[in-house]
Amino acid sequence: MILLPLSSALADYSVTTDFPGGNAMIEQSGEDTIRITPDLRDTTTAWFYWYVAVKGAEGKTLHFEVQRVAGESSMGARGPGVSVDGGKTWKWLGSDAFKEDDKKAEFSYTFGPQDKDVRFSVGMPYVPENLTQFLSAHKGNPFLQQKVLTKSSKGRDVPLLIFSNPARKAPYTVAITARNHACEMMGSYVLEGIMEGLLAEDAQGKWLRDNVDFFIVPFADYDGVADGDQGKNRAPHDHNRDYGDETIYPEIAAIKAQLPAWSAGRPLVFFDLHDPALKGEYFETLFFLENLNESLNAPLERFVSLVERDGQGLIRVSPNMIMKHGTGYNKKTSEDGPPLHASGWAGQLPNAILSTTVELAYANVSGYEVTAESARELGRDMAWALVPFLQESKKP
Amino acid sequence: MKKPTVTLSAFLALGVLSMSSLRADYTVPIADPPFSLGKSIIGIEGWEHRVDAHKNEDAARLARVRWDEGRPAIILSGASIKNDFPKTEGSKARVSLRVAFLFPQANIELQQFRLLIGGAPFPEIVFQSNKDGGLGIGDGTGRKMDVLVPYSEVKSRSYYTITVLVDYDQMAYDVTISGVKADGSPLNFERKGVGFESTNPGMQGMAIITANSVRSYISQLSIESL
Ligand SMILES: [Zn+2]
Repeated sequence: MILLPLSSALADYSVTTDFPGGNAMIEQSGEDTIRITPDLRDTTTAWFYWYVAVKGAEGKTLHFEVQRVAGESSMGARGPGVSVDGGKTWKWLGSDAFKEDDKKAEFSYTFGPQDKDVRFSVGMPYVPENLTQFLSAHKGNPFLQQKVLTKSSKGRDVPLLIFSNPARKAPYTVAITARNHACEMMGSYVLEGIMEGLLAEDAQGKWLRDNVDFFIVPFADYDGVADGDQGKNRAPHDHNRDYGDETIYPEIAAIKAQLPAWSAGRPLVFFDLHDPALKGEYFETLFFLENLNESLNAPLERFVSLVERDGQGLIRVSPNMIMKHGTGYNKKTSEDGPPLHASGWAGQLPNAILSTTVELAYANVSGYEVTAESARELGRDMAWALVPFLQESKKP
Repeated sequence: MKKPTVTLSAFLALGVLSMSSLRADYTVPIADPPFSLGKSIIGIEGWEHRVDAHKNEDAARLARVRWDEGRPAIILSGASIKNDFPKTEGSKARVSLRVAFLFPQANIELQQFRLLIGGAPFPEIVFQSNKDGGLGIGDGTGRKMDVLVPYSEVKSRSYYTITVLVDYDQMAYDVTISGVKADGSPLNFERKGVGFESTNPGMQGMAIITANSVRSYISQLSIESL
């Protein structure tokens, strides 16, 4: 595309990050070029999360340059996520819509006459407002209790969602955490899908409501999500390295204290939802990480095979999506001391019958497109698979 | 095609065409009953494993389809099954199939869904997920197909209704395929009067063979004498 500088037009649009989840260092270069660099803040390694709003650019065509950080790409496999409704819904601009060299990725965007506020991001940001919107559709549902897990480091109320049948104590428990790494937003859509599944008016939803209590922490690093931090590899350590003996984050301290007491010895399934790095062999797929606790290997294999068997989502799950212990980046051993990450910690609980980290790629799972919709569908499939998985597991 | 999983001659040799059922044609509703939700269809209404050595009980199961308003379908994956329905009679017969496929949009290997019908002038209905493939009619060997809807136009996880009307008097068949294209626009494919040479009218016995990576959904399947 040829960009003609509009010398008569004033650069009267703005590029901002002053909204929940916003992140970028922004430079304007000439009238029509915006240079974006992920803002690492307290992250100690190269990372790639950025999220900006462009306001008042109706009718313009702007050119974006997204800088690499320490040589690492800040652009996903299907280009930037774009939202024209203030971050409620997202689309990928497309894998053909950008080009990339060893310094930056570039794309152009032509703003329509209605495009007063267009959001661009490395992913499809999901912030507390998205959860509020999801929950508003289920207001008054007797199975859903909205609670406060704790106050965050910055004094915010951290949501805790308890789904349980008010008429009875369920024999099984499932706990789910998301956003232990703040920027890993696609996991939040998986979580929405799981919640849709357990509220659904189908046979699986009914069985889950009758037999399972759910403990859900949608934003384990709540401040990080709200403030738009990378979260990953935060100094001195990130939230997903905070489940050991030296816990420093109030959310993690609260999970460690409350979850075991809440499950009260009932069989516990634990999912910690993540997205991996952006591109490459281990990162453009879906993985269920095998736990350090070997007795949970066979149950994980069974669970994933049930997702494969009964799954109906847009992303096909298969048993080779289990990342075995000692392979890939799943390499911690018991000699490294007690596990510091969420699913490792949960896997050591005496009542754990399954505990895994789920790593959903941002944009591409072995050729299947990851979107908010396909990620939710994966969550639905996981909720469905819980039914036969728990039915087959030893009766408590 | 790299590795055909079966050839028509192998398929005939496996005894698919034996007369083992008393039903006329195959017009079984895909529903519970006669099948059972959440269970394999094997052993019901004439469905059997095609090869004894390959008995994957999860390969063909009845389930409610979430994205099809909860309507039931047989969900197939790594299936190799057969049904020895008796020979169609009369001068016309119709095959009707409502089918959807879930397949990756990129990085795909060659993977197939094949519905083989014994004695049909179009030996098989095929979906092949690679750039030279798509939805069409195969020659029964798994190696050659006539692409009617190119792969790039087939929408993943979206139903297609395929009808083949065979006229043995006219020695010709008509194919129609309706559904939605990958870009969301309607698809209404029609090819009329495809000639064939056959001295032996009638269709008898079918097999379904599907790859692991192409998950297939069948919500309607019938083979009727008209
Ligand atoms: Zn993570």
